[in-house]
Amino acid sequence: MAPQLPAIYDLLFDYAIGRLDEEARRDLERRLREDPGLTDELNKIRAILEPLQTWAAPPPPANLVDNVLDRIEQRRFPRMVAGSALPPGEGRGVGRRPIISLPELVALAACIMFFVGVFVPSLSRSRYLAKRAQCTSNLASIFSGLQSYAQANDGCLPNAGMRAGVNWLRNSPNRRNLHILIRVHLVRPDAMICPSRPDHQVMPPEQAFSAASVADRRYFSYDMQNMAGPTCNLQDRLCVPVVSDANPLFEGGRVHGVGNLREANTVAHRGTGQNVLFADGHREWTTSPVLGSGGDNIWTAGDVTTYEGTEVQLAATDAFLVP
Amino acid sequence: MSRRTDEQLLADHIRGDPEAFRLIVTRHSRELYDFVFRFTRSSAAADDVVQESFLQVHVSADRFDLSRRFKPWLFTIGANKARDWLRARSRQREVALDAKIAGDDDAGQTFLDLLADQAHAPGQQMDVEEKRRAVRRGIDRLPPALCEALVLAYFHQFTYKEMAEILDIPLGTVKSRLHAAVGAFGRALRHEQKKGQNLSD
Repeated sequence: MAPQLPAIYDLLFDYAIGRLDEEARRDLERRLREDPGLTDELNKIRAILEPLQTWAAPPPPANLVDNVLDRIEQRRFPRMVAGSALPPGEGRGVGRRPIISLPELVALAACIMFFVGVFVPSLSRSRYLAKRAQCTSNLASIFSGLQSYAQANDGCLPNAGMRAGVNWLRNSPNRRNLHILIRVHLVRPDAMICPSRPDHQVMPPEQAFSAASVADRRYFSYDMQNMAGPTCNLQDRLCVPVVSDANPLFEGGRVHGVGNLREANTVAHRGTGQNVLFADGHREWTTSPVLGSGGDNIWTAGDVTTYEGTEVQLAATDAFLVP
Repeated sequence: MSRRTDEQLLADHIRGDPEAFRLIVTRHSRELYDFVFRFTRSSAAADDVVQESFLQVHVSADRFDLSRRFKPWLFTIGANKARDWLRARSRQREVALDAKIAGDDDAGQTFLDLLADQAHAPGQQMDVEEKRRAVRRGIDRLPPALCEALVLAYFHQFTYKEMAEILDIPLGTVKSRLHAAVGAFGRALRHEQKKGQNLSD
């Protein structure tokens, strides 16, 4: 703690440097006249302070004010030092100088467009490939379910009542076949949804495990080999496709112009191709529905061009993947 | 039109008046320069610290309580930056021109003595010059805290309350520090004057 000094010392110092107000000055002068000791003390202080007058600071640089203002300007606008000290409207008010100039803005916009041009497509392609890979993984899950089902059912694939003459376009028995795999807990409902089909959604549990539910298109992104009856023992047909992305010819539950769409890919994956699961379990990404050296189109029954919904494949090895 | 106060100028600057800040700098840069020079004894430091101090004011203006006085705040910033400069210099261990080249002998030669410009002035001017040197050396003997208090009170006439604010110390400490500064400077001055007499004898 600082030692307490008599208040008179403050008064003497203030008097010596001439900063006492009129009333205090008169009062102190009266006390000085009455107390010679106080006068001695004042003279000592004056004798000490008087030489300080010789201690003059040198004149500051002539452009000190401009230097200060330039320094501030440089700090605020590092690459825009202008001839003037401060910009008009400097501060926070109206007329404030823009943070960046027009040429800088244009350059910045060009950079942004460049990076968008370079990175956005690659990001978009990464997402596309990731979705395609997830779709392939779904087919692996479906194959696993089919295989387990077949092992438990004398080598036969699930069949929800499909037989010759049943209209697969109206009743969607092939989707019902896939639904069986969900009902018996061999495939999860989300494995039936291709991530490239934003219009599809995972089947809710109350429908997924109910035999009475309708296998709605939106819950199944995949089509299955059309079956005109129980299909068992595929050992001799291992190279036949059994499940794939949805057939574009019958998208939406109706027949589209087969002639024009004959070579079309599924609507998923931006129309660039489709994932196909074969009876032996292998999956292929194909960029055309026409497979193999025989030129079989997996969307059609042989070369049939007109469909009502009751058509079946023309041979045991004829792939005909329908809803 | 009446002269705007410092606080009014700062408020105008915050509102976007482009001339207000220039007026503040014009009004106070010289006095702040003098203070920093006396504290650091360096023109270059004074120039730099003044620029840095006003830059700090500019950056922090909107956080300043406009009900307070501006000048003590400015000098607080200046004093802090000057102390920073002194600390940095002490780390660099610069050698003053009037430091002794070798030994502690009071009569030892200084770097200043080696400079070529040693033109002798007439007798009276020599006395003034000797006095000035004695003051300068007496000041050099003061600890920075005492020197700071003496400069703020004597040259800049800050009140004790304002000095307490600038130095960030209690009012009682300001008074005792100033008292100590005057006493220490008196003793240092007498020592320097006695040394000068011995040399002339």
